[in-house]
Parts: sequence; structure tokens; C-alpha cells
Amino acid sequence: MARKKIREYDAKRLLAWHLKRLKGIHIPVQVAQVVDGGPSLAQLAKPTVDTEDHVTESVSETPVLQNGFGDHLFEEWNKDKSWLMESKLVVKPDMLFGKRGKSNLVKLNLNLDEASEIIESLLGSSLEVEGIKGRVTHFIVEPFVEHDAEYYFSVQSCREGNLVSFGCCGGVEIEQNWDKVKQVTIPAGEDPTGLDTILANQDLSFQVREQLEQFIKGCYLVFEDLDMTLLEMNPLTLNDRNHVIPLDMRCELDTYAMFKNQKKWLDIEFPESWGAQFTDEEHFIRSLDEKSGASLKLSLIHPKGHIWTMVAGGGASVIYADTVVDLGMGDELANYAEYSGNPKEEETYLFARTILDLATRYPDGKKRALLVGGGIANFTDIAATFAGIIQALKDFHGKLQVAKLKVFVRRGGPNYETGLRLMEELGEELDIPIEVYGPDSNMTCIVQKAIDWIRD
Amino acid sequence: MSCALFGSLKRVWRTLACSSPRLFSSSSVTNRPPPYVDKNTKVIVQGFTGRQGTFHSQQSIEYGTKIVGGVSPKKAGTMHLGCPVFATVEEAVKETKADASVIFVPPPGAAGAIEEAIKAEVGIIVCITEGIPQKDMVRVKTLLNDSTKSRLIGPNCPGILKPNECKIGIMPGYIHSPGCIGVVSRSGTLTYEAVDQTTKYNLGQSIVVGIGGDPFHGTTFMDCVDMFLNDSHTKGIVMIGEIGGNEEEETAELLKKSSIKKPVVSFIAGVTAPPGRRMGHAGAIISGGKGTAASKISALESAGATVVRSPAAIGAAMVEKMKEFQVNNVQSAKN
Repeated sequence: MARKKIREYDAKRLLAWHLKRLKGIHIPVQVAQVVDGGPSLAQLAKPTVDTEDHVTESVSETPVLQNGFGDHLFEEWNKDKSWLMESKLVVKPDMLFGKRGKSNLVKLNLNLDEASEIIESLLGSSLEVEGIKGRVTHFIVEPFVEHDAEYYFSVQSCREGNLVSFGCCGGVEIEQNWDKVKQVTIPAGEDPTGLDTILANQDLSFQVREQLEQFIKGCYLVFEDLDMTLLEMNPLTLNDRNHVIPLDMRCELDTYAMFKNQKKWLDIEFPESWGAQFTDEEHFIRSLDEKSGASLKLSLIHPKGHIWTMVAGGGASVIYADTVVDLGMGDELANYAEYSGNPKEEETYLFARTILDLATRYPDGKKRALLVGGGIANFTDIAATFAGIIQALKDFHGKLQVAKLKVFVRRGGPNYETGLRLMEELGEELDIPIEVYGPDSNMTCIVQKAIDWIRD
Repeated sequence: MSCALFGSLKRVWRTLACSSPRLFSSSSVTNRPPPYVDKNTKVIVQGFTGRQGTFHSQQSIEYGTKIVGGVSPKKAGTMHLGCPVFATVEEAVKETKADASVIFVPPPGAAGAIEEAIKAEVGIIVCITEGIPQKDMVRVKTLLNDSTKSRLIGPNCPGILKPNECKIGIMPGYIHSPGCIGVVSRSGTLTYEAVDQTTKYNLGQSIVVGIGGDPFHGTTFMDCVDMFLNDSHTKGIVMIGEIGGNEEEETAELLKKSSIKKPVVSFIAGVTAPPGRRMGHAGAIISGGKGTAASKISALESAGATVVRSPAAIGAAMVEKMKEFQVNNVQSAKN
């Protein structure tokens, strides 16, 4: 399972769409998204007129479909944004971080001009939220909803099934009122008959209870059908026409289920978490990783650091990073990188090239080390895997000399002797220092050697 | 009225951690087969004729594993690597009387393959596949709970091995040697280090189990340590854990309560990872205070285990620990 957060804008659209499709329930969700570099809020608000010269409905109803998911009809529904000019608005950054109310980032009851001003002042700028800095690139804009009651509702997958929670005490102070929240676990694969108990003994009028019951049952169906791992609404309320509407919502999907849900998940995106702005090189490795059956990962930590790593295996790579830090050189640890699952030679080559490019970018006269480490491979041919790395080293050998980079290799597995010998010979051929170790030396021995080299 | 913050996920996790019933009790309680294989274990391969299935089956056969057949609906009725190919697991089990199955089926069909094996009452099911959706695994776990005949190892795991007798999975056979150390691990690579070291120190291994890196998995640390404690051939236990979840803590409890005491050496990967960050496996995520390396290390140490700070120290630490235990045993015998 791989849980990934999605934006509130996408979560609300998915929910509205599929509630209608699965249960015929209509929730009056109207959302607009302003993206850094895209059309401004004022531009989005201009009414759309189609070729037959009739303006689309101002109250958006999600059309129910007979077959498929009718992506083109979804687009139509999405296009009509005339409500931006007709209602008072709520504006929030939509960047996968919570506690926006407490951070004073929720702006209410604005007209279009006021909303545009707020967005303009914050869009594209840097912000620090709970200690993490990031750039605000997306805003969600919705109609301001007058309401009284604030409910809390969530569904979350857990070991035994799905944990459903509901409370009449929703809102900013939910944590203090957590004891008033009712919970029930629906065992995996079972019909959610237990959901009725969630609303029992809660202080609700008959009419409201009925509405909420329908809504909660519908949400549960959507949760299961879309392979969600988390769906949380706080607060949830009813508008003046007694329709249930989530004011604040958060959602996570299991991306391992991507292969079956591409159509159901429509056009939503899976953004990186707040503060995780990626460099071009990290993006590049991610795209390699996505296309490959193997695993290729790169995270930059201290781009000007003097200890670089390129380790085989998810577990081993974490160990190398830990060992560098344990030995007191955490500030010099430039990156985390791992490759595993038998990547092709071209993939290893591009992977190694990217790391060497970064490692030789800031020559400063001081020595650097590259740890080409790993454990004992089970079935990858070491000599074959090294082929890609060796080619990359050849490409960069001039820069390696300028950057005073020494390569430390530790590896075991099928054909490792040949692999290590090829590395040694390469060192002689290109006149760059390369030290090799096989399975007789422990896995992280090269870390201390690299540190000694740098400090010398 | 201002718009609200979201409810505390931390709070929900705490609720879950305290109230969740144990989904996989140890074998001694459920009569489910323990995570154990040997030279008599008859194995079938699901996804037998695919590239992965073929390659690793060949290796297993060379190691001496009793592969008795495989499942591949498209090639049913033919022979592959000298073994019969069947259309279904049920047929394969009926004809071959297999005790175990190994699954090399890609994610879209993997959960279905596990379910098929459970329905056919296969005793040990090893699923190598990585990337099975959570909803599918939750369904699998429900089926497993209702079954007393089947044990799942994995998914997303390297497998289980008894030196010179049986190799089910993708680990390198040649580094293992028959001996007395039970090894259980979440990480493939680090398992091989522990195995290599215990081989070099002439301790050898009794059984090696890779339980895999996914948050939802069929066999836990507790299941394996329980088996090791009760297995007369296992004299020492190596446990390789990772940040995330609380199995290592639960195992510490098991060690404390057990009347049988054996030397335990452990290593926890991911000490330097900050909370919320994902590194290595999808399973190694810290949430809300629980599952940090510090909490695991202190739990295990309080249960009498030696927790080494570097995987390089595992072998040597085990030798020391075994000596300690021998001395203590002699002392208590004297008293």
C-alpha cells in the first residue's frame, strides 16, 4: 500500500462525482483552483459560452452517466465558474498541509476582488508552516457557506478494516472534544450496516440525521470503490437548503491501486508533500523510477557536501546514510540514493551520471568521496550492473579529477570479483582513485575509509 | 465562524494502537503452521512459467528444494523445468500434495493468487510480489483470519530458507550454511549481511525468514521469534527491524514473557530518518511517536536483547551473546 495525499480541490471533485455515480446523492460542491502561472481568479470567473450559444447552468448539477465515467461531461461541469461572481468566497492554500485555520491562512466571506488580491499576494511566495518552508503554488476557492452546526466525519483504513468516526463537535477544537466522537470499525469486505450506530445518541434532528445517514453511507461506498486510505471532513455541515456539504476535507489514495483506478481517479494529481520541492535531477530520477520495473531513488540533502552515496538496496542505503551520520559527518552527507530490482544498464548509467554530475558541480579544492555500496546481491550480476556505473565514470573522469573525488566500492554477489576488478582497472586507466572491497569486508567499512580520506 | 483545522490523525493512531486486536496471533495459539520449511516441504510455484517464476524456480531446484509443480492457466498440461504445470492451485495441490506455494504473480493478480492458495488450503504461502493494493491485502487478511490451515509470508518479501534443504524465494542460497541461528528480517539486503556474518563465524542458520517491507503482511516478527524460541535447533536469534509500526516492541514483550530464554541480537534500520519521511520501504514510516527507532531499541534492550548500532557488528555480537548464555546456563546449573 502506498498512501498519497491529494489536494482538497481534487478530493472534493472526486467525492461529488462518485457520490452521484454510486448513490445518486448530490452535494453542492463548487470549487475553483488557482495555480501559480495559470489563469487568475478573475479570468476563471468569466462565464463560458459553448458553440450552440447557450450559457451553461449557474447551479452545477453533476450529470449521472449510464456508462463509463464520461470524462468530457466532467470537464463541462468543471468549466462553469460563474458562481465566483455571484457568491461570497472562501480562499485557502491547497498545498497538502493542515491547520490552515490556526495558521491564519483561511480567508472568509470575500468578494471576487478581495479574493483575487489575497491570492495574488501569496501565490508563488515562500511560506513557513509549522517549521517547514515551501512555495505556495495552488489555491482553492469556494462559495462561503453560512452554517451553524459543525460535524466531524472520517473514514480511515486500518488493520481490521475501516474505522469510521463521527462527532457533533467538529471544528477547530476537535482535538479537545475527541471523547465525544463516536467510532465504529467496519471489518474488511463487510457491508457497512454498522454505520447506523455512528449517529445514534447524537444530538440531531430527525431530518438532519436522515441527510447525514445517506451522506455517510454514500461516502463509505466511495471510499471503498476508489481505494481511499483516508477521507476526513472537519467541519462537515448542512447549508441553508439542508444539503450536506464538507467545508474542509482531506483525502489519501492507495497508489498501488493505480492500475485499476486510472479512469475513476479522473484528472487528479499526486503532488509532493509540503516543502518537498524537487530539483531537476530528483525529478529526472523519479521519472526513470516510474518508467522502470526496478527501483531508482535520489534525494538531495547537502548539495555541496563531500560524501556522496549510490547504494544498492532500500535497506542498505538507509544504513549507509545512518552510518555517515553516526560517525559525525551528517553535515557532509550530500544525498540519499538507492538502486535495486535489477535495473537495466541504460538506467544505471543515467542514474550514475546524474549523481556524478551533482557530485562534481561545486569543486572547491577539498576532497570528496563517492560510496558505491551495497550488500550481497541475490541474483543481479554485479559485473553487469557495474557496466552502467563504469561508463558514467568514464564520461566524467575529467570532472572527477577536478572535484578530487575518490570512489569507494563495496559489493558482493554473483560475479562480484569481475565487477570489482573492472572498477580497479578503470581507476588505473582514468587515473582516478578507486578502492574496492568485496563481501569479506563488512558492508559499511567504506564509510570510515571515506571519512579518513576526506579528513586527511 | 472560522473554517476549521483537520482532526488530529495522531489521536486516531493512538486509538488504533491501543485498541486494535492482534490480527495474527502466534502459531502456538492458532494452530496455523509455523514459518518453517525443510527438505521434505513440497513446493508449487504460482506464475511458474513467467520470467521471474522460471528463473527463481531454477535456482531453487538447484539448491535442492522439492519443487513438485506449478500453476499457469495458459500452459496447463505441459511440463516446465521437469515439473507438471496445472491450471489451478487446487488441481496442483490435489495432484502433488504440495505443502507450500510461492507466488511470482504481478500486482493486478497477486491478491487473487494468494486467495486461491488459501482456498486450496496450502500450508505455507510465500508471496514475493511488491505493489499489491491495500484494499486487496485487507481482503486477503480477512480470508487468512478465517483459515487455520494457511500461513502467508509477505507480500513484498524475499522468502524463507533452511540451509541446504529448502529455498523458497529470491535470496542468494550460497551465503547460507546449516547451523543454529534463526534470522528474521524486514529488509532483504540486511538479511544477507546477517546470514553472511553468522556463516563466517561458523554459527550457521537454522531458518531464515524475510517477512517483507509492506505495512500489511502475513507473518510478523512475533510469529518467527515464537517459533525460534520453541525450536530446539535454534540457539540464537537475529532480528533486523526498521522504523515504523510496533512489531519490534511487541516482540520485546513476547521475549519478556517467554519462559524459554535465548540470546537475541537485533539491528534497527532508519535511526536517522526524521518523522514523516519515507525512506527505503513503503513500510518504514514513523507515525505519531510510535515506531521510532529509539522506542524499538529501548524495548528490545529491556527484554534482554543486544541491539547493535551497525549491521557490521551482528555476527560478533551473537558470538559474545552465545558465550554469555553458556556461562549463565553453567552458573544456574551449578546453583
